[in-house]
Amino acid sequence: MANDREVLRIVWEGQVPVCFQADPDEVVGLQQPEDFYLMVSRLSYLPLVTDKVKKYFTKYISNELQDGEIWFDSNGTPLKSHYPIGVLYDLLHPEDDGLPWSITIHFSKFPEDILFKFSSKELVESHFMSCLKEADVLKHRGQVVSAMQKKDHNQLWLGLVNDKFDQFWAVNRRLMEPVGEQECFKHIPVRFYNEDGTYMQKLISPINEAGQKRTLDDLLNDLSTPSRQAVGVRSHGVKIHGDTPLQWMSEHLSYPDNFLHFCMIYENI
Amino acid sequence: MSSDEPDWRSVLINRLQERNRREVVNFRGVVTNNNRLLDLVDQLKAENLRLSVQNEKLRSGLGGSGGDSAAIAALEKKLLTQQEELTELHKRKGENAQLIVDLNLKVEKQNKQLKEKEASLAEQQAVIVSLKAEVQMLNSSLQELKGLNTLLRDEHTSLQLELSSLEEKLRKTQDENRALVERLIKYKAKDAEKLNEENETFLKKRSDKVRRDLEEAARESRRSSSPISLPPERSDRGSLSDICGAAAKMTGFYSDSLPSSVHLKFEAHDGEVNAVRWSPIERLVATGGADRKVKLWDVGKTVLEPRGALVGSNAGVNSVDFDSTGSMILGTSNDFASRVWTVADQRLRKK
Repeated sequence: MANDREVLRIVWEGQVPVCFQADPDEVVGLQQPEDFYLMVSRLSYLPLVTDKVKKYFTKYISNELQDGEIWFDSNGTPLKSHYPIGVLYDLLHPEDDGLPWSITIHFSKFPEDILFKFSSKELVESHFMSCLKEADVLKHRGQVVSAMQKKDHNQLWLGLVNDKFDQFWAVNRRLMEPVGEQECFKHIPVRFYNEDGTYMQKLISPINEAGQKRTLDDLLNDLSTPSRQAVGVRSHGVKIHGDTPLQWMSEHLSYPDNFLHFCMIYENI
Repeated sequence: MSSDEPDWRSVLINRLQERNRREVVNFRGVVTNNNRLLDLVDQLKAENLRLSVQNEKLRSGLGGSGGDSAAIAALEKKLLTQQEELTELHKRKGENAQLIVDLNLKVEKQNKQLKEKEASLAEQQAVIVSLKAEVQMLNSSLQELKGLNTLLRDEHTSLQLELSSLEEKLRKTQDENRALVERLIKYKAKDAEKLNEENETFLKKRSDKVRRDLEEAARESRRSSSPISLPPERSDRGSLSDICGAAAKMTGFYSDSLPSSVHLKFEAHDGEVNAVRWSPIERLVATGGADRKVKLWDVGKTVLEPRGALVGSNAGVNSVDFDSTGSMILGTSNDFASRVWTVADQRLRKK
């Protein structure tokens, strides 16, 4: 089933142009640093791609701030670096505008009430692996990921870090196949993001009681409440067609952590 | 349902492609360019910094050298002094090298001397060793000799003892001998007496017989007038020699021998020879002559050898004589003096 490489490839190649800017309060010296432009993968995480950015801006700030915890904000909103970049972008840009994406890098005044200190790659890796295992528990009761060896986990992680599509999917393919005779996953791992950046998670089954595959429209119906109606979802920067089956979406549109990340569009009634 | 599937899928793909076109393709070139430019800026900045530093360095060097002539003068002076110092040092280095060579030579010499000394020392040690060995040998021989000496002394003592005992014996024997000789002499004398008596008696008998015979004969031939005159002539001599002489005359044995040939002849003195005399002990003849000398002649051999001339007389020597030992000569002279010479050293002793 999970062999539609065209879709996988397009999803994998999704990138966002980012314009990194320094915080003017932190810069020392007369010269303001030039903006740093970078193409970042939608599927990656901020700490994994900002090594060069940090190195570039370190030259322009005072010495005592250089060892500080770095964090990013976009137009005043602190960015949660444990969300995939694509999710962050989609949340902040409901409309297709504002390209390139302006991000300000900060070396001081870490907003501890809003963000986790999440800059080291080891933390990102453990978060990624825990998400992966959670998704596998939902899909296969955790059988597949438990059967994997440490080197397979490493291969998944390094494939993501180094942007190696084949390396990643060689292992990830096993996670994206239903086990045994079943056609579908047990549940669909999916997170629904609100506009304020929070998300909720529900137990979603890919098939209904009659054994038919459920589509996105069925899901939206489930999520609708009397007060507001879910009218659509955005993921990977595009609106998803309502007829798309949940199982297919999970297999093809999931982020590397095996979750579907949906930005919900609601309409108040 | 199956016809729917391509629909949602193609819509999704289109939208994704649209998204990529919008978000990725438009910006990729710009961003890459930007990155490259940033890198370039970095590089140029570094280059600029390096160049400015270099420039600054050059300028400071230039300013320092061009700015102060006094400093230059000072530096030149310093340079001059340094050069002088350098030459001085070179000179000293040469001296030191010479010194080193000299010292090396010295060391070599010393080494040679040392070696010689060592060699001589070794030699001396060898000599010492040999001497020690010799000393030891000599010591041992000395010991031996001492032993021998003691032995000999012992022997000597024993021999002395023996000798004294033997001498004692000898003396005893000699005494004995003397006594025996005395006795023998006594006996001999007795014998001689006896023999004499016997002889006498025999002779008496004989002479008696002869007298009887003669008397008988005389009676027979008293008329013959040829008496023998000899017997009364000879009667004053010893009876035995008388008889012997008579017997010899009778038997014709007695013959007077006259010297007929000259055995030896020599010229003794310048002038007359007044005196000659035989030495009583050797074949020595002393002659005295008118030439005031006494001469000694050895005639023991067939040729004559003059033994010396004894001078001192003031006139011709009339007579010479030896003493009984033959060691002195007495000569008388016409100068009214007698002189004595010794034969051995031919000196005048007395006058």
